[in-house]
Amino acid sequence: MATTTPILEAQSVHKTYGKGSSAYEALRGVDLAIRQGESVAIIGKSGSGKSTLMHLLAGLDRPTIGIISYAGRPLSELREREMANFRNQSVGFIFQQFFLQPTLTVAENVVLPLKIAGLSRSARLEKAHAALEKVGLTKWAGHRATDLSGGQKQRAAIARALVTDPKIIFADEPTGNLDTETGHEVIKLLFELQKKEGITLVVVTHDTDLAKLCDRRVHISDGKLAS
Amino acid sequence: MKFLDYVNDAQVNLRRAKLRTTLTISALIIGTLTLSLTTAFTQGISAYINTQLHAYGQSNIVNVRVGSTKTQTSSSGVPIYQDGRQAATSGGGEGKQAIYTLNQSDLDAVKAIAGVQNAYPDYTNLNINYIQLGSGQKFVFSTQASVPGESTPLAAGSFPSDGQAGLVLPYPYVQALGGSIPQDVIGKTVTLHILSPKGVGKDYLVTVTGVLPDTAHQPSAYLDNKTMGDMIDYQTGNPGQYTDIVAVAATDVTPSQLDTIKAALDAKGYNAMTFNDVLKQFSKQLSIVTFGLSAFAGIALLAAMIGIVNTLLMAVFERVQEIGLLKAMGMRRRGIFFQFLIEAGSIGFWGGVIGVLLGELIGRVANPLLIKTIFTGFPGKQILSFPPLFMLGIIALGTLIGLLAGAFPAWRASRLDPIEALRRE
Repeated sequence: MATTTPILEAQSVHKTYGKGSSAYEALRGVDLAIRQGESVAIIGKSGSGKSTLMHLLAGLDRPTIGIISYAGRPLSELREREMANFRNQSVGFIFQQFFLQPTLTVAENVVLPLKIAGLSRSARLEKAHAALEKVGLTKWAGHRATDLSGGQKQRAAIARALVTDPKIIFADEPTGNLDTETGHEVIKLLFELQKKEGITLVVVTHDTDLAKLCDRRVHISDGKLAS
Repeated sequence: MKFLDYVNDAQVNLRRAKLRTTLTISALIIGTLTLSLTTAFTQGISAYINTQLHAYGQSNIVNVRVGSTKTQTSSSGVPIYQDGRQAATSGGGEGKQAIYTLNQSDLDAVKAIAGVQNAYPDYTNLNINYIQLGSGQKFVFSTQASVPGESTPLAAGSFPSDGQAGLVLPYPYVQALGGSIPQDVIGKTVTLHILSPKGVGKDYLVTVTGVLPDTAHQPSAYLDNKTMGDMIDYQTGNPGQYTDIVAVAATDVTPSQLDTIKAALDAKGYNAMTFNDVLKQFSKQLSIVTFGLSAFAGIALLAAMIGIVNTLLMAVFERVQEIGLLKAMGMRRRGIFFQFLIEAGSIGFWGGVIGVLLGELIGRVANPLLIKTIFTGFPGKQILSFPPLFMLGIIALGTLIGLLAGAFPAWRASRLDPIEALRRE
């Protein structure tokens, strides 16, 4: 296992916000390798730099110093178009606040990444139904996103993250806005799908129950990984 | 993302903020409506002016008068007398300025100009006492000389042919002389009564050969050149002199050929006035009106453009999170740019479409009213006319304004940082 190239790798990554005296170093030399198909929890207090690390790994932001590589290739080498493709095709996101468009239907929300990719309407609908079936929301496809309960919203968000068949899913406090019981259900579903589809899962969380379910836990404090 | 998806999403997004969209489009409609009505008005009026002017004059006729170089002025400023060249009273419109008479030698000179097929004396100051049919009622009457080759459209009959005596009556004289349709008076012989300088009356009998159309502003009658000349000579007692010469060019003469004839006449010391000049005077005034209205439309469009910028900036501000999400899901900067640009373009497009449609609607209501009241005798059915090409142009302009206005907000949106946008608060 140690010989295979990690799907995602951070090498001595630093991230500084601001300049001069007001500069704030959110990450101070992080090394992390994530293997294909594993689930990793990034745990830390708020302000520890865990969200920053996730943003860097997901290609939403660039490190000040250091390299983030996806399947052995540094993300800094990617052009804007390639980076957009990477986010669109290889990565899926689940957010604490779900970020569903309230004016769109559940199905329309789920197909958003496919629409961006330029798929035809019929291909989009087909994939959306497959994804909604996986999360058990088939009969809600035509409803507005606002009609859903919190747990259903997060399940719809999971369907949206899955719809492009990504290699990696990033989940940022996925249970943060859910009550304990609903949170458990969502987590159960997420891990089931992750195992079944062989997806790499990176979770940023405070939730120790959630962290325990992951293959590996990475603690971060003051911008550094605690061993 | 596919182009149709952009267009579709833009409509959905515009519907999300109905009131704001409506208000922004309304501002634009003021501009596009003004522009469509201005176009409609200009198109209609120039068609109207053309038909009206054609009742008065025709495109192949050049009116010639004495130019300033034909009169030799003494050091005192008073012109020196030349044989056959004397001051005549102005026909009107020139104020107190004297007009100098023309004679046979001028007529020959005009005939010699290239492009001039023929030239005739034109008589303007014939004072007819009355017109009478048989022993019927006497009516006041005024006439101008008819030149062989007149091509003004007539309601019925024709102009007197070369060498033939004849009279073309204005439309109202049909009823005055006891007829009900133009054909009733054609072929009838009427009496025209004038006085000599000593007050001796004389009757001239002329046959009616045609009737002018029923236009808003009635031109005077046309009397054949020869009879008119005889009558003027009798009335003035000063034969062989006249203030105007009409030069006749080919009926299919082009405006540029007319300008050449005009230039040749000017070079010989005559003042030439062509139908072009008359049209130009009218169209110049029309352009001033058009320019004024268009400037107003332009200001309205500029204000609307600022409105679109404002609306789009608000939309960008409201949708920061959505933009961040789209970027996180792999939408490119240019995709975001395009999305907002098309939204702005759509506002412009709808503003154009609604403005043009409203204009057409107003035209439908106003046209019958205008023709019944102000523009009576207009041959067509539309004073306000909306040529499709112009209307498409206005819609295109609206869309362009939208796109221009959208460029800045769209650029702002495309530069948003997805992290900032998605940062949880």
